[in-house]
Parts: sequence; C-alpha cells; structure tokens
Amino acid sequence: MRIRREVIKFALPLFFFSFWAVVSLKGFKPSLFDVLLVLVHPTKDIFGIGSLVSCMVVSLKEIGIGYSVAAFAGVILGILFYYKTFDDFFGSTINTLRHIPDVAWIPLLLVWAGIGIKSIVTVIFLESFFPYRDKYGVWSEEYATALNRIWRVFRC
Amino acid sequence: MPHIGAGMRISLGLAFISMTEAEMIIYAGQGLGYLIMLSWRAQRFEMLLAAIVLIGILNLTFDRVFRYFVEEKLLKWEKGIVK
Repeated sequence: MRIRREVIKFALPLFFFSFWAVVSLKGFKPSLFDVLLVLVHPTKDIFGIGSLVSCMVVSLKEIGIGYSVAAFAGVILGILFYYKTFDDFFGSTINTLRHIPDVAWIPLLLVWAGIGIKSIVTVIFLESFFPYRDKYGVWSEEYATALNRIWRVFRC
Repeated sequence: MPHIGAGMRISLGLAFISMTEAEMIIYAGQGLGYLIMLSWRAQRFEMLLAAIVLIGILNLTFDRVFRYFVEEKLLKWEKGIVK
C-alpha cells in the first residue's frame, strides 16, 4: 500500500518530464535537455551578469535581510499588540496598509530607495511582515487568555 | 507556538514570491527575477525555465527545512496533545 502511494506521488512528474523529453526530441523549444544543461552548469556566466549561482546568492541575500527584519518587527509588534491602547492606536492603520498589494509600493520605493537591493528588500519586508505580526498577535492573545485562566484558578 | 510556526512558513513563501516579482519589476541588474526578465528579452527560454525551476527548488527546500525544524522538532509536543 505504501509503495503504491509513493508510485502515485511520482507518477505525474514522471509523466510530465517524459512527455517533455519526447516533444523536445521532436524539436519543441525550450527543450528539457537545454534546461538540464543550464542547471548542471550553474557556474557558467550568463549574459555577462554572473552565473546562476551568483544570481541565486543575490536573491537569497535579499530574502535573508527582508525576512529577518520582517520577523524581528513582526515579533515585536505582535507582542505589543497585546496591549489594547497600542492596538487601538496602530491597529486600523496597519490593517489598512496590509490590504495594499506590495507591487503597488514599487514605483514609490523606486523614488525613495532607488533601483537596487534596498527597494527589493523593502518589498520582501512588506510582504512577509504581516503574516508574522498577525500570527504573533493571535499568539499573544492566546497566551494572555491562558495566563488569565491560570491566574483565576490559582487565585481561588 | 503553532501560530508562530505557521506565520513563519507563510512569510517565507511570501518572501520568495515578493522577491521574484520585485526583481522582475525593479530590474536591478541582479537576482533570479532579473534573470527571468533578461532571458525573456533575449528569448533564451531554457535559461528562463532554469531560473523558474531554481526558485521552485529553493522555496521547496527552505519550506521543508523549516517544516522539519519547526513542526517536527520545535512543535513536537503538539503532536502528543493531538494523539
């Protein structure tokens, strides 16, 4: 039964790649073999902008910075949102901001931060900050409720 | 804690999405999103697909690593409660 499940899991990708290999042999572009050739030579220079690996390193660096800052800010704000006054003061503004798609900020970010890593990191920050803040907000509320219950039990 | 773990995973997935779209639009001269746009302009579709596949592999790898460390190690106790 377990082997059957494993076979089923890999059946669709296997079919897809087999089909792509067959049509590639018949001249379909982009060919599966060309893509594999690019992937097995990741250090080869492309268009003079660096290799696939160097592009990947730049992207990972941007994600690392944006995500870390978002995590830090999300955790701090999520905990602070436990306080009702803080929630009342900032809550509506942040809830409005979270409904703006991050792509909409890009033209403005280009003016403020210029074309480069700063703008990209800010976009990543804006996108990954809100789930963090929301989840930490929920957590701090739950934590507070649990502590409140414990306090009530032990007070009696 | 489960909420935090879920938030971390959702944020990571969104970070990859926003990184790709920001690099594609901002066109900063570096990164995988920029490579996708450059390959498209040069009509080098094998390069374009390689960049797409690489983004997918990276996202999947990070998600699995996160899932392993957060859900299997950090939130191990939660499974005990559910059972």
